[in-house]
Amino acid sequence: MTDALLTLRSVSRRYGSTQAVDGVSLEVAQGEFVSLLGPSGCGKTTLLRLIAGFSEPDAGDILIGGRQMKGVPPAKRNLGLVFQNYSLWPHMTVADNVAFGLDCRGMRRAERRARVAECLALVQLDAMAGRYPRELSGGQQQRVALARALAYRPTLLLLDEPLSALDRKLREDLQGELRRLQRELGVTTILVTHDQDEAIALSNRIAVMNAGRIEHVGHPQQIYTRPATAFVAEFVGRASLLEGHIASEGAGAVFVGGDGLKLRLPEAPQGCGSARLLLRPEMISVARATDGDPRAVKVEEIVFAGAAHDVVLRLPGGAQVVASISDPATIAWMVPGCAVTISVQGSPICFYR
Amino acid sequence: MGCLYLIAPTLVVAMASVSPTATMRFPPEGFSLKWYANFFARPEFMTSLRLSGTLAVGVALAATGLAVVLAVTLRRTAPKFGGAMQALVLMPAVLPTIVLGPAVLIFGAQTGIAGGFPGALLLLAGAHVALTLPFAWQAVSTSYATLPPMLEEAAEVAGAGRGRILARLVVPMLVPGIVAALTFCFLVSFDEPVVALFTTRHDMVTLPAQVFTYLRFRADPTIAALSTMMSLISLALMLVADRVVGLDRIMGLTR
Repeated sequence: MTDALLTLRSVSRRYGSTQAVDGVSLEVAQGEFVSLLGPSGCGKTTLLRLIAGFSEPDAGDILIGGRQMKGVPPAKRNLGLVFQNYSLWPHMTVADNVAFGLDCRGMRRAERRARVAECLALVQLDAMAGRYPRELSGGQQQRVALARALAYRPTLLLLDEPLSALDRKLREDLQGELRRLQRELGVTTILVTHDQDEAIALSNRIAVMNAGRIEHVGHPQQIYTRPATAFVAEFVGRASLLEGHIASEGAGAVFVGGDGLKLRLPEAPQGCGSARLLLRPEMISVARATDGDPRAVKVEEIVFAGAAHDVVLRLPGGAQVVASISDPATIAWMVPGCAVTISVQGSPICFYR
Repeated sequence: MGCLYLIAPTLVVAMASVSPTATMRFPPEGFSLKWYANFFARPEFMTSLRLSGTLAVGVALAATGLAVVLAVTLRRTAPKFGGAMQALVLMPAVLPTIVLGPAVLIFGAQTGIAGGFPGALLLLAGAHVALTLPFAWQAVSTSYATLPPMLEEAAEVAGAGRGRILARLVVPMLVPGIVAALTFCFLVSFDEPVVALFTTRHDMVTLPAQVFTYLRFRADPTIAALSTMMSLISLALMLVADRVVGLDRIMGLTR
């Protein structure tokens, strides 16, 4: 792909004895919204700082708009950046904050004023132009930060956990606004986040990172339903991973857990052998067990979770599995401590070893 | 108690300064401002006052500017060396001025820098910058530590060069620290006697050196009058600086 706006080629960066970023390659197309998702310490922020130019990779190349970024300082990369917190300049008004990047580019006064007004309108803060950051709420401050980053029409917008300091309701509002803005302006965006819901809600593609590497890049839905690794499966969405092996049985297959648990798989997986089976809560259905049924598992807890109930099940070997049950009739007879049998719906995901 | 120990002599001097008699007497016998008038009437004092004032303003600006540039550069290029830099910058504070004085004198004579008035003044100013830098550094670096690095990084990404970041962001945001630094440096340089005495020339006598010279020949209350004025000016400057920026916070005395 030569029309990629951002190209990372085997980018590595070491800090002391930790390999913070370890041979990361990624291509981001013009107008795309890509999230770097992972737990803290996975290298996602380091990678963002490499793209921004705050530090240089030890090895590998970063290209923005086809241009090699080696030795190019942050100021010359034409990027927009929004930090998690505290990034507005406290001694400047909202309008001056937004105008700063335009000043740096030597834009004429009249044009600058028009652009500032336009950008503040974009984030619905036209009325706040004369205010100081301390007079704004957290959500408003982040919207100003976004306007400031977009004002000079950056080649690439970088967002470093921009919403994680905000409370849930506000975060969702701003997610919506961010998605709308990104689509309207068509600005290529990289979001760093540890929040999978945020990544899923906003991104065209998600790159799940772990220990300095990208474990899986793909469409959010693909990452959820077909995770490339067990780490991705556990990090994105809720998952129970069971150790065991897959055996063929008639036309289908059966998963035999290390604890003797047997589960029929509705679709035959890719092969047989030692494997880990991924169970999403919505893939498990339960039925009342008859007395003395050897396949019985115990219901430990039933937790109301809005649209469905989370049923925590304890398998004979001690492993815990969560099933999401939305059928009210099933919930009605289930009590903690009762025995049920479980079965798997949909196409199973197995990680072979 | 310590406070009383420092204040009591100042009060004695203040009372002596309004004595109508030529010998310093305590308690004074009457009230007169003639020694204050005498100070302003004597040309050598006026010349020294101008010199010391100019010197102190220049030294304060230089030391504070240096402290700001050092703090910013250090964070940017080598945050790991903060401790080493701290030690280096604070060294003059523990170096006895009685050592620094002759050292500056010998250095000036050996290199010939102190041959003319500009060179001699520059040499004295340099020594004063070294002496005041610890104060400036303390005020500026404490204040700078409260600024998150993101504020500068955001400006860098927005396209600002180092000069613009310094002028439009760092300096305005550091105003409290800078005001405190300027105040301390001015006061320290303005009444620094030791190095000034060692480097004194007929055309370069700072106010503290002039006081020393004057006292050797006359023991009238003119010096008491000057001391009282200087105490009041110091006090006023500190109070103003404290009202503007909160000195205790800037100097890291309280959290």
